Amino acid sequence: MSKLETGRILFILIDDDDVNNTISQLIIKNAWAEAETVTFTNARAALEFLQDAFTETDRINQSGIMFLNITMPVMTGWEFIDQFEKLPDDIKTRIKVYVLSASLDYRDIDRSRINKYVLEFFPKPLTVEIVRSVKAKLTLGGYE
Amino acid sequence: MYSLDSEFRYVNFNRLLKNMLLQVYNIEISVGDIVFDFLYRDEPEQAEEWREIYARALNGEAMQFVKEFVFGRIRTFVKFYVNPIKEHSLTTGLFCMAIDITKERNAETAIARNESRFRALTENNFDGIMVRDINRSLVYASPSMSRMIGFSQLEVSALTDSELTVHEHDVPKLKKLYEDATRFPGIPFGTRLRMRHRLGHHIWIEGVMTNMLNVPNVNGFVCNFRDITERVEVDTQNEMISRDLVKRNENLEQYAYIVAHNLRGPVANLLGLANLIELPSVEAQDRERAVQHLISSARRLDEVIKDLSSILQMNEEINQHKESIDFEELTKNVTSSIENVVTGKNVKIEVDFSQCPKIVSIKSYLYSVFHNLISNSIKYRKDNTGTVIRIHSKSVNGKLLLVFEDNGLGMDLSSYGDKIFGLYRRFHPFQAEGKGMGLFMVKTQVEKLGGKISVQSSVGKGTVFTIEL
Repeated sequence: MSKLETGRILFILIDDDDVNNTISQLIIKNAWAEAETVTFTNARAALEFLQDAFTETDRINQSGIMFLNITMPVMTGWEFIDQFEKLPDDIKTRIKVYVLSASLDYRDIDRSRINKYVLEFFPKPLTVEIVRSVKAKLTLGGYE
Repeated sequence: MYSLDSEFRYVNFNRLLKNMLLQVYNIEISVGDIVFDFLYRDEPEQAEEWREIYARALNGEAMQFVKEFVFGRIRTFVKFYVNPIKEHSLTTGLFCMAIDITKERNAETAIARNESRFRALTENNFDGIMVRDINRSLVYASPSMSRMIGFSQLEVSALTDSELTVHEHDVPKLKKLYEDATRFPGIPFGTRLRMRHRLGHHIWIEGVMTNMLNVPNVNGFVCNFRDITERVEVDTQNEMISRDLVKRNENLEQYAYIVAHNLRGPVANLLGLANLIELPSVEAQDRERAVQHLISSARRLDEVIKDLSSILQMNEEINQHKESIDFEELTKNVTSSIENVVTGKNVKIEVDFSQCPKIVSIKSYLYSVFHNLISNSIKYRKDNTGTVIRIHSKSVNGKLLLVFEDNGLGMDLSSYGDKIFGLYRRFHPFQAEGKGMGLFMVKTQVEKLGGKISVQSSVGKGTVFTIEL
């Protein structure tokens, strides 16, 4: 596995729709073979992962790209963002959050636009082009 | 003023008479002229009439009469007094007066005309007018008013207070109206209330009451009002229409939501899977997975479309007729339709409809309610050991209660609240089966039947749905 300048990237996929997670996973695999992916059908479990596993030694320097769905049972995407905000800065700054939603509802799109943690709203499905564009932004922007 | 001798010759006259005759007839009179002579030239009939009048007066009769003179467009009324002058019971001459009473006459005519105009206004007016005295007893009721409440014109004056009642709900309004009017004389106070019609129903009237107790010749509460029953009916209808429109609009928003969130989901999956299959770099086994998912996504899309059409149909079904429904039979029908779901899961359904065995309602709705609630209890059972669903009916305060109780997984309602009845809301993280449609349907149908649904639940213990119909 060749090393990227940005380190080994971790894609965090959060969607209660398993089929969509599978699609995203396979698209990422084909667009960025070196990247790692984790999937969650429950946003609360994703939050626990960020709090625990993401701070373990083997991931301590890892950066993440998150594709977050909005309309989900148990915890919606927005409820997740509210909890995400409470995480320590060293976790937050390592993760780029994107919304990946089937919604065509302008309210969801507007809300994504004004939310300080959401970088962009993407309509489902995830495509190779989207993965390339977030990758390009990562390489260009680097990390703070 | 003038006086005549026994031969109708002027004995004397005042300047006023002289000027008047000069002006009107262009004749200059002098003492000794026969009073009606000049008339013989142009108006011989008038001359004869005057001769007769003076002759009668000379016979001792005191005369008083009004004569009308028309000169061009001017009408003049003159009142004449012709009195005999007696000396020792013998009439020796006549003392006469002519007074112009045109002004007074015109005033009288004006009053008469005003009076009849007023009558025409009050009696032919579309609006009703009524006057009540200080004791609130009827003093005057216009014919239009009696017509409004179903009495003939002849019966107006005979209307009694008991025939003039308002709807019992409007009694406080009327009381308030009298109080306001009493407190502020001269100020009209408006109201809208129901008056009893002769035939027993009520008509809506709108109008004003003015306290004119202190106004001479009125001395009462004057009420002007009109029949607005038709308008109120139209208003009520409009209100119903706008309520219906609001509801329809809500439904449209709901559909828009479904389209944005739930139709888009499976479509996005189909697109994503198609993209994957087309990718040249994709491995054979991944492509095979994608094809599998393609099928399941297409099925899911089909289900959402079916849901949508059943919601749409539900809105049409409200016009369906109601029928007597036996709860026990309904439960049997539902359980036999889901037999394949029940089998092998060790589910027991216990019913007790002895208190209220039947209801008159829309069968398809109740069927759907039972179907969804029973299916839910099975779907969210703890395990396959001893799931019990208890359904019973009872009557409380004239309402029928249907209680669905299970010993399943239960939910934490403190964090979901009312959301559990929302469309496409799912709350059981580990039960992928639920698509968030059932409870939405149940709530909508119960509400369409005019009822209410409530839920109690605790995690690990079970759930109780109570329907009030």
